[in-house]
Amino acid sequence: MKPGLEQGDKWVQKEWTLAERFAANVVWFRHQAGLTQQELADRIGTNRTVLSALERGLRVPRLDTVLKLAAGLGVDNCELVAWMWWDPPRHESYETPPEVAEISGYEVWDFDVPARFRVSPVGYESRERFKDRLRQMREEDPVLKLMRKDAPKVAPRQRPDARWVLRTGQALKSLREERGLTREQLAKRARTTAAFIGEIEEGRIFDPGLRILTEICRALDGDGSELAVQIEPVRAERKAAVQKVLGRAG
Amino acid sequence: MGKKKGPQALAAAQQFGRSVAERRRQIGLTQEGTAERAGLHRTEVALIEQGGRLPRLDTIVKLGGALGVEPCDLLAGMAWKLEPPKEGSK
Repeated sequence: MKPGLEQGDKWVQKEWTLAERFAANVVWFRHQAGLTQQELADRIGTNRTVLSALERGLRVPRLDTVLKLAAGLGVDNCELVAWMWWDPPRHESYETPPEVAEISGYEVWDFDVPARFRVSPVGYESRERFKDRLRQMREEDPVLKLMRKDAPKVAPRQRPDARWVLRTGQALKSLREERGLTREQLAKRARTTAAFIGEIEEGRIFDPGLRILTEICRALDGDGSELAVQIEPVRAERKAAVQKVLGRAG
Repeated sequence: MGKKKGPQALAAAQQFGRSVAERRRQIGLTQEGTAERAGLHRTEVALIEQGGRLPRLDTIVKLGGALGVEPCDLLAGMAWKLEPPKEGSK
């Protein structure tokens, strides 16, 4: 029993699935609208059996069904898909060899909680509280952190010029050497190959891609901003040059 | 997906795809990155963005989480026009 729960709240302990959470939303709004299952089923042009299965959490609806139900119940789409969230997986589940950990003071991170759906059982927490929780989760998300507006940004799919590539390589090399890592060690951490790291460092790879850069950033300092900071000035310069060419500078 | 899709469903799928693509570009993720974060296959994300697939609720929620928005934000501005019930249907 979770602390702070009454005996009557025993159902809260149950693990709710996504379908059950959706079902609870539907049932709630159907009762509010004062409709029977048959009436609602007629409205959205489906079978009562299908609706019944959906309301027991046995079916996961598709997009069209969600929209139909929202229309049939006369509620906003948001109301029906409230209290649901997905945690993106975090890629910290690789091991660091002990000797590397010693050299760099690098900590082996815990295996993160696996990605899963988070749903809030009916009435268990207010929507504000649930949203707060989501906001917090979003703020802790390392990838989103790297991509927030005020964060130094590494944009994908922007063809970098030669200087950008060289600068990335140099930055990576200096950061790697600062930490006393060999290419092999870094590659192992970033889950790539030493050859690939080498290619980047020597400026032979155009646009290593955001995913791999993020992995490398994490492997280097667990934060990712450092490499991005080094890259950013060159990118700004390049952007200005492009704007000048296009004739809408400033 | 053997089911026939009506014009409304197709329009909904396309609009959903657009809002996913828009949000994805906004935060600068690739399709591959999004797929990885959403626990989906890259081709599925591409298909959804093209509007070639009506995603299930779990996919919607997964994409929302991967893109750092609430699932409802991806459904913004979408509405379904219900047909009047057929006469004589039991």
